[in-house]
Formats: sequence, C-alpha cells, structure tokens
Amino acid sequence: MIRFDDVRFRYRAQSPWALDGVSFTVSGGEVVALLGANGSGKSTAVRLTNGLLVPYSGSVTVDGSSTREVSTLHQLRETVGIVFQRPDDQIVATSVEDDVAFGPENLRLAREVIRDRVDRSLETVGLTGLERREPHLLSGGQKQRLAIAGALAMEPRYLVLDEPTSMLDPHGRADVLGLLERLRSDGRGILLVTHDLGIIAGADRAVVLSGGVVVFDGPVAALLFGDLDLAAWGLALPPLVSLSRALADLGAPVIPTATTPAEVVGALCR
Amino acid sequence: MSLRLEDVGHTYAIGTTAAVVALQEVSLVVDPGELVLVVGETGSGKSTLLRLASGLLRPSTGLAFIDEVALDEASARGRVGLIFQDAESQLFADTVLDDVAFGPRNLGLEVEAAREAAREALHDVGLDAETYGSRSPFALSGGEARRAAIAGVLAMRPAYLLADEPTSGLDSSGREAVRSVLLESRVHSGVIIVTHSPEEFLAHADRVLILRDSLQVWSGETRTLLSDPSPLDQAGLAVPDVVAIQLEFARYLDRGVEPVLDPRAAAQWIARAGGWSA
Repeated sequence: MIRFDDVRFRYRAQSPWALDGVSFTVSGGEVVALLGANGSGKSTAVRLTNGLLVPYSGSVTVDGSSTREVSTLHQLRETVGIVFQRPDDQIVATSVEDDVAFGPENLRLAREVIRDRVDRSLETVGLTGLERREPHLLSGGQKQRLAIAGALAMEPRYLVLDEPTSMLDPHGRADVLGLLERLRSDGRGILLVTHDLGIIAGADRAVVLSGGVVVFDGPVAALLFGDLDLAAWGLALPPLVSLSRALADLGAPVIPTATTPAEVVGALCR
Repeated sequence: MSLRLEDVGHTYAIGTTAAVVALQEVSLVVDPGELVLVVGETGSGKSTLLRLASGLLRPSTGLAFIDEVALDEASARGRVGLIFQDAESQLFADTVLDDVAFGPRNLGLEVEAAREAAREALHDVGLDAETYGSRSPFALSGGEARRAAIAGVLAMRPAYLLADEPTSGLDSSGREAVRSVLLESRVHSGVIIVTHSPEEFLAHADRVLILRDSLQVWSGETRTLLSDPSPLDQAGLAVPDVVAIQLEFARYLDRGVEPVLDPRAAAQWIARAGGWSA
C-alpha cells in the first residue's frame, strides 16, 4: 500500500504549503483517481510517492517502508513506477526499443529478460512495429505510450500516471484505460492523476485535492453525482453528467449514475 | 483574402527509401473571422497539415496560397501564426514580457514598439502585463504559461492563426481561458485549430475537416456533421456524448433533430420532445 499520512510539503521555507496535511492510500488491485486543478498539489503528490520529494512533516510509506529511508530508496523506485506528464522529459534513448530497455538494463537483468520485457511492454501499449523508430519522430500520443511502456518494463507493483491520456485520441485513451484495468486485475495499485473527470468512471475511488488539502475521498459516483460544487475545486463535470443532471431537473427519467450515452437513452426510452 | 490549400499532399524524405506519406490531396480554406477545425486520430496528418498551412513545409503536391500569393516561409512570415502543441515548452526569455516581445522584435519592430505589442497580446490572453510582464515564464502555472506562449504568437498580429492541440494538458479553467482567447482572436484572424477532441470547439467552428491515415475523409459545415456524426466515428473519433444522446432519442421518437452541444439546451429539447416539460 502507498500511504500518505498527514503529509505537509513546501518547496521553499517561506512559500505556501503545496500539500498541507494530506492523507490517502492506494492499495494493490485498486485504481485511485487523484483529481484537482493545476496548482492543487497533484504533481507534488506524484513526486512524493517514490521519494523524489520527501515530506516536511508526516510520512509517505510504500508497503511499510518510509520514503525517507535512504537505504531502501533504490528498491522503492522499482516498486513505484511514475509516468510523468510530459513524455519528452522522460525519453532518453535514440530508438523506441532502447528507450524502453533503459530501465531494465539499469536493473542488470539478463539480455533475454530485457528483450522479453521490452517486447511485452511495447505490445501492451500498442507500439509493436515501431521498435527502431527514433522517439522524436513519434506523435505526441505515441510518445505518451512510449513513456508508459518504459514504466511497465520495470514491472512496478504500483504505477503512478500523471495525466496519461492528455495527448491521446479517444482510441488511445480507451487503450490506456483498458490497460489500467488489466494492471489492476494483476494486483497492481494505480494512482491515476488527472483533472479530467471524463476518464475516471472505471476508478475505485476518487481523491480530490484543492489548495493542498484533500477535499473529497470517496466513491467516483459520489463525486460525479453527489451535490458537490466541483467548480470550486477547479473541476468540470463531463457533458454527459451535466446533461443527466439537467434532465433530472426537468423531470425526465434518468439513471443517476449513467456514464454512457446508451444508459442515458435507455432510461429515456423506457 | 484567405488562406487556401488546394489538393495538397506531403511526403517526408521524398525520393528516399525512408519516404513517409503524411498527407494526400487535402483542400482547406479559411477566411479572416472564421474558425475551421481539423480533426483526426494521432498520426492522421493533422500536424503536417498545419506545417503546410504555416509555410514551414512546402507541399510535395498541390498548391497553397495566402491572400492569393503562393504560400511559403517568406509570404507567411508575420501573417501566419503557429501555436505548437505544448507551446509553453518554447518559452525561453528571462521575463514574460521579453518572451512575448520576441516575435515582434524578429519582425523588425523597435524594442518599445515590440513591448507595446507584447503588452496588448498579454492583455488579450488575460495576463495583465503589469502583473505578469516582469515574472519569469517558468514561474507561471500550466494554463498561464500556455497563454503566455499564445500571446507570443498573437503579438505578431497574424492574419491567420493556427493552433495544434491548444488545450491539451490544461485543467478546466486553463482550457476555458485558452478556448476564449482563440475564439476572440477571430476578430483579427482566420483560425485553424487542430485537435483530436473536437468537442471543445465544435460549437463555434464554421467548418470541419476530418483526416484519417493522411487522407481527407470528410469536409463540410459543422451543423451538417452534428446531424450525422458518423464520419467522426469512422475516423476513430468520439462523437460527443450529448449529440449521440439527442440523435438516439430522436430515432426512438422517429422524428428529426438538429443536435446541439450545450448539455442544458440538449436536456431542454429532450424533455420537451419526450413530453416531460412544456
């Protein structure tokens, strides 16, 4: 389990708290959506999950080990994989396959094992066939998949993805969300960091940060369909949910938790 | 006055074994005051189309014109502004004001004139020059940095403004801010926006061009597309949920509808058509 316990963090002594007493958990076999506007503290939280940053007070532990423990930091980085928001910042090699192999090579795995992990990771993200392509010739969405493949090749127990679908088209988005499903059923814990409420329907839980504090921690349905002022947290309802709510106000029959057009139409046509 | 592409195509590394056909036989016109949306999946040729429309690339086939003269890097200079994907990654100067003034300076404006153009552009994107001008571009939030980068393009007062995925990666307030900046820029410019999520701009687009695998598979007026969005689906793009619901419900009632994108307006039509409200 990744556990944030009353975490406070700021970047400089006099600056405001980026996180001010934040607690939440991510267990194996669970997808947790971490939501919030730009500047809400999401990206800071991402960097705290594997010890890139350490809390000013409070603690972050991964399967019981504190991220402050320098002796276990190396292992921690293998346990928690992070896919950052900008794929360009994490592409290191001159070919797609070398880029994915970079992490496993640092683990000094056998060549065949590395080959196997590279092939499987590229297949999982749908980049098979582009092994020799130079990363800078990939499209934005392809780079985003490459960054995810690089993290998968490390076979981390927990995967933290910061806005992993921001550059993807609907198919790519559905692919990545499907991938998260598979990783979850594999027993991995996933922290899906985003401001897009349209991609969290499949998550087990949602945690919302606003101004460095947790303002919501509960089921996704309670966030989308509860009577909450999401705009105050810098979040926008998906158009389908807005439509459902407006229909309910006008007295039309709705399934309150509908997340697909078919569900909405199904209720109307009954 | 228009930016016009006629049957343009582009092949990278043409004549070599590494040749990649990125775009074939695409035609597009944008006039000042218009918004044209170019949509397509990742790798469909959208970004190549923008590079052709901005004169950065020459078409391998077909013709490109700006205000009736051949479009190339020289004729496009200062008249076509291109906002790249992740535009803020190109911010570089010590202050926001200097960064935004860089383009006008490059066009030959004196320092003070360039700064004045920069102040105006910052105002247009909702970043007051008094407050933001002296800051480091690297101290801005994601949404602010994107808008500062857009200001750098607007400061050149381009007659045609091209934007590649201008809202990607921004949160809802950032998206809204960038969206209104681009919509307002139609006062000075013809605007072409390239995106794989058309929903945000569709309600305001005059025309839509759909690309798939380097080919133009559909082109026409937005309202025609909303009434029959199957070309979006065929090109691997999402039909906006709100539109899909109205069309499906109209089919169930066996009546016609001109779908709208606004969820509230859509709900009102559904509630009336279904007899739940007057």
